[in-house]
Amino acid sequence: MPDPTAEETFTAWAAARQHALLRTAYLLTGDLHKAEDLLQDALTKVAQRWRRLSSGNPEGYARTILVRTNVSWWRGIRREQVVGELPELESAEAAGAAAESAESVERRLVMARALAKLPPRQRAVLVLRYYDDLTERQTADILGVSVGTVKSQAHAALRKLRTESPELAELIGSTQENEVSS
Amino acid sequence: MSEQRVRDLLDEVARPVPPPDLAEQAWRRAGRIRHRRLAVAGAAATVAAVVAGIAFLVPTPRGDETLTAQDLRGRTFASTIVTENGRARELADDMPISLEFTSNERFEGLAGCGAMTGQVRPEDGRLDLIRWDRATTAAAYCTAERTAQDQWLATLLEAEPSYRLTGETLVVTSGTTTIVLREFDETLVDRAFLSTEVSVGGKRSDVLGGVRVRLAFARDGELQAGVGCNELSGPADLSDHRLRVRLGTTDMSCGAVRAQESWLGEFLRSEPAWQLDGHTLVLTSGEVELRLVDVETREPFTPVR
Repeated sequence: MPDPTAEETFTAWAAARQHALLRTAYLLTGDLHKAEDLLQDALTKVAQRWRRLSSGNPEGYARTILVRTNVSWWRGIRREQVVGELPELESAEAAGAAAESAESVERRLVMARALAKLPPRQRAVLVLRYYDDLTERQTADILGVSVGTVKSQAHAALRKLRTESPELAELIGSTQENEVSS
Repeated sequence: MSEQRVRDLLDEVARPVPPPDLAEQAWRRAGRIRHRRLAVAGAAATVAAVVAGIAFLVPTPRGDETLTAQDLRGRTFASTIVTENGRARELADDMPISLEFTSNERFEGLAGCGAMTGQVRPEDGRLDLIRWDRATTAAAYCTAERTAQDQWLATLLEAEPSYRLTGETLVVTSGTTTIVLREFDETLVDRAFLSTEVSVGGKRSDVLGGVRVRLAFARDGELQAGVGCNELSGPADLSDHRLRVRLGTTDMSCGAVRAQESWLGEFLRSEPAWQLDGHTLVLTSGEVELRLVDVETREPFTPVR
């Protein structure tokens, strides 16, 4: 049996990881269409370098592309940025509505709106640290900043979530003393 | 706000996102981009040939006809001239023919439409096609002309064409058809490197004092370099394994790393030789050697999700 081709190994990897990466992209952008565009770009760039990346860390590279491209996109459209309302998820939401309580739907929408109010770097720090479970060092490498910046941005992001979305703090019960640690 | 609560909230927001189906699409898109890039490279080389006054003249110096598959491994060639019966053959949409020798005896051919992969063995001055592995078709890009060109290349390769490699020029001939291809060197393009060590006269130097040099080679031919403060950048020529760069710089006050920036600028302007060994880039100028590692080789991490 011949060895799998580069195309086969790439498509197998991408098929396995694209859903997780799309979720990360969605958290970064707050918009499903933008997230899909972002992911498409990232997967294409991984495919272009597959022969070098396949034996290394394609997922880390894809994540770096997602984050950095999103920051540069955001710079271009920041004046038009609006608070996310998750309209593109309405159909999925409707399909799962029966199984999802009104309380959890509200909590999700509130968190999505709160995320949309964060500057892109702060949002990226939250997503990479607490959704993708990366260390501070890994997060710093992806963003191209120092570990100290990651710490300060995470702190600022959490403070902004609390102050600008008090309903969120009420929903989850804010405990400032129990601040997120590294 | 506890760490776990933040995680749970982010997970709730992301959970309804439906699964995409982008894997095969991304691979095809990457292939199209690569082919366009080769087209630019091929066009540039053709223009260079015309300027040199040798357009449509197939080079005749004796080349290496005793290659093994190992000699071709990892090398990509893009056509600059294709002739039939001594006259130039017009390629569909000016897309060049490309041959990429991906691994031992494996190759991928592109002729304008899809990608054809197979096993080929250079033997006695001929490319012996052992078998085809597969042919993929990017339907949206397959005009009748491009499809015919794919078929034309496949037929040519099946006819055990002769070959001659002279330096970076590969000439493939079958009957009255000749394809002249130039090696497409993209080993440094789109890659970034971080320094690991500087040595002078074989002894480790502390000239960077713990600061790491970052070099990034962009697709448009620009080099960006720095040690964490100002950005040194400019068009870079990588031919003949020598780095020739015209550097400009931003002008921020960087007291802490000013000496390292000056050293880096001087070093890069000295036209250092470059060698790439896997993930390690070595720049050498006189007795000074700067070793860097590809940033993609950082410790892998895969989030659990």
